[in-house]
Amino acid sequence: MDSAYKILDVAMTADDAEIKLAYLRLVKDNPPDRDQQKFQAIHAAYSAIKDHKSRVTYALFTLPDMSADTLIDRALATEKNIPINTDLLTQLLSASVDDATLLKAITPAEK
Amino acid sequence: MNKKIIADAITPESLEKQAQEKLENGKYKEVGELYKKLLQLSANEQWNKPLAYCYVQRAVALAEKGMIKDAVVLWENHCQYTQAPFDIYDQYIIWLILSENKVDIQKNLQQLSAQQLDKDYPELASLLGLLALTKSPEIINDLPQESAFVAHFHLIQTGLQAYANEDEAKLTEILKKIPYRSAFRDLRSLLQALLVLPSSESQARALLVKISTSSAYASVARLLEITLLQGAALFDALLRLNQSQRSIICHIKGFNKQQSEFLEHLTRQHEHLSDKVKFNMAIQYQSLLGPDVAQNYCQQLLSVYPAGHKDFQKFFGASDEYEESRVSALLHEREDNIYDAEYYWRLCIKALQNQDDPGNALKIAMILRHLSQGEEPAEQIELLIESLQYDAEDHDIYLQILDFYQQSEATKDYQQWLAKTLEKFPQDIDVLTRAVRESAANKSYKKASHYATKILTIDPLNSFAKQTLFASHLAYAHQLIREKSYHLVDKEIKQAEALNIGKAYVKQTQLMRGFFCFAHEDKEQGLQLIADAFTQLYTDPVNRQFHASKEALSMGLPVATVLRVLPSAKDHLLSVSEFAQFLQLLEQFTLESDNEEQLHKALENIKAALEKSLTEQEYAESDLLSLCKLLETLQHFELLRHCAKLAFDKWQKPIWMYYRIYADNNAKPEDCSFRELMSLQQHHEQAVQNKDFQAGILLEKLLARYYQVHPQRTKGFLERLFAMGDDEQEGLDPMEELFAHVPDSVLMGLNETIESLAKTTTIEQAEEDLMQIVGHDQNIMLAIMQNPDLFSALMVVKSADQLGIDIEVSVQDVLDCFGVGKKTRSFSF
Repeated sequence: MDSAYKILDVAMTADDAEIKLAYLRLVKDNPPDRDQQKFQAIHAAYSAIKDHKSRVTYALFTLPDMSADTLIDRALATEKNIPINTDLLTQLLSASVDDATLLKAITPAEK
Repeated sequence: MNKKIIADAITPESLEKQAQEKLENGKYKEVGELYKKLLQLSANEQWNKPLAYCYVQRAVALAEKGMIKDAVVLWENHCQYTQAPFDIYDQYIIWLILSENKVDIQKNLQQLSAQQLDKDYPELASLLGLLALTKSPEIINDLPQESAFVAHFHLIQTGLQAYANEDEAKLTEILKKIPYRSAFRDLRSLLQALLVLPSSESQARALLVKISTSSAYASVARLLEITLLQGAALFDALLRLNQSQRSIICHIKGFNKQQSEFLEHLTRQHEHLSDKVKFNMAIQYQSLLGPDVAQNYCQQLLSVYPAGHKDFQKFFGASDEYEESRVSALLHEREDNIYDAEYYWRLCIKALQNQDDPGNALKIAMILRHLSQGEEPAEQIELLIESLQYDAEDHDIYLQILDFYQQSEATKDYQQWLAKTLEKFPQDIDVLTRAVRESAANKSYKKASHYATKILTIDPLNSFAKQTLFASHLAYAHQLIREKSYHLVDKEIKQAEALNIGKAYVKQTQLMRGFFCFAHEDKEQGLQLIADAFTQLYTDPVNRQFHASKEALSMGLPVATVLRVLPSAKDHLLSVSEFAQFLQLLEQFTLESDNEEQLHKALENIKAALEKSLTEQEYAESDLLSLCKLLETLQHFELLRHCAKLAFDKWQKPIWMYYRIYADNNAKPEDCSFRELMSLQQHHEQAVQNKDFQAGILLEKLLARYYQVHPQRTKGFLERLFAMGDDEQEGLDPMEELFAHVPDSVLMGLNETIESLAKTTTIEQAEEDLMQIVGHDQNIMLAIMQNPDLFSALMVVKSADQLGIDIEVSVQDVLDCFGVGKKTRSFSF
């Protein structure tokens, strides 16, 4: 499960005003009538870190994510992808053609 | 002879029948053999078709198993028995492509018509398009040049050139020319996605999703989607790709050397990612992760991988004891191991106390409050109070502490904490409201007025404060009149009037003015004002008389004089609404008054009318319940008895039995008769069965008080009878004398029957049964009712009689033993 900071897309060092701004922006883009579950997640995240005391509580009582995903997320983070030029596109198209692709085209269930 | 039978059996008809049966079961190879035999017997052309069908089915089955070359041979065999257009010709061509038979591929592609390519075989066309663009550009020359396929292929080529030249407009224009039914329509979506990708990943995703999973372009669409993933999700997707696909994606993601090494390492280890592996990876790749992230990650892992302490020390220095304990505590909590969790939280507190950080006090307070959540109320409050040493600003904690002391009726503690809270939060309306309530409850009207005034300076519209202030002014005016300090009364009434909180309150100040006038200024005019005010306040004489009595008594004025100007209440029957008004008034006085005697006297004046109304009118059960609760508070047993009896006769519910017995014994359940005790028990059980918890609790309280005074009655029936385990019961016990000779096993059986009888027999039935036994001798009946042991002994005899057990004890023996009655008749059940 994403952390409250990740849900609100704010830094761990964000202050009350920054967190409130991020919350209002997200609520505007995700009103409850559009996606109730997402809205609730945003609201819960805001409640969890909206002020200093709640942030201390959150930091105290949230079990850190010790899964390998934390490492992988950090290690494989990249700023931006390399633009896909014609050469890369051709490589992608070629790499996509394998026996599986061919067989998929004639699988009776999919025909 | 056998040979003859077999020869007779192999007829074309029987073979065909067999073939059809096997065909239905999908045994195509055997069916094929049978049709071949049939064709040997006779060149019947109608057998060619099923034979060809069998070849095709077998070819498909083999292709599904990956035996492509065999599939090709079988499909080609089927051609001998049928004519073009051949079944699944498109699949056959794909099998040829898979088997890389270039000669046959070319031959068959050259045989494809434009119709077949553009309309009949869309999947084959899509695949050929992809092949022509990638691995086999030469195939385009073998395909019908007049087909739309070839025309679209050239368009796409121009489009790709435009893409290479970053000529977006041209590419967009070309893509518009590719129709929906084109073999290149999915490539069109792919290129559109590439065009929007730099500006909007979500739009690109939406376009890629449109490509069906069965499309020849599904794989490339998936590869493009993977390039949009990050971190762990990207890694999971990469694991499912082949090496060449993975290296293209890594290239597009722009992974550096370290990232590639990490990925490779992770790919090797991903199925065995133990805490140790994760810990070591975090250390190994700390420059990639960032030293802080690596250190934090390893620090958190120490709780589950304590063997890492040495390496941690080597790479990062001393570990953080607090963080390690915190993670351990949370891990134990996750396992519902509260005991160990608390141990680690205490270690956290110790570690925080040893650190010189001003922010730690709040953390300690939060931990203590967290710990309090799993505790019993008393321990919970201790922890909350302790937490205030570290964070004294949490208003909610003060309120929680106040709530606890209020609920546990610890008045002294409540008052102490209320004072502390008031000192800490002098402007807090919640706290001030509590202060008003507490002062009003203690009849400290000045204090209540002071706090209420304070509330009104913060919140001028606060109705609770206004009402309190109003009530305080009037209560103080009452006191002043009683003390004959008349010069201050007018000021209090004026202050109450100035609050201006509604018409109902104006009537009350008018009434107060009437009493003030009567007491101090002009008796006649005062009486007139009082009569007028009561006329406005109530439509019935009962409420007027009651209210007037109470007011006069509380101000020390002559009640009879005041009541004389009001109409008599004697014969008035309270309507439902008047009764409700009376209940409201009684409740108000009960809450406000510190003098129950005055209320009793005021009730005395209307008692007759009230009893008559209760007897003759139909009030709601809930209203009668409210009345009983108030009368219980006031300890007015006479009215309570009257009301409860009427209600019990109507509704026969446990709660009414509670009030009956409570009133009959003047709130002393220990004085209950045995019959009443049985009744209490029976109705308590009924309340529990009916889930009437309120009545259940009240009845339980009465029973508890009864058993507190009569502890011997708490035992089981027979234990009680023989006082089993009590060694102080020595000497002449009639029970011992009567039943000592009965074996224990028999007594146990009797015990069950008696318990069952006690549950199923009503008091009235028991009484009836006893009368049948002992006759209508009131003295004996009285003795039975007064002596529970005598009753119990008779029950044992009755049970034995019911079970047909001869215990050699008769009813007369029991009566004799207890020294009651000298009946000569034989008593038998």
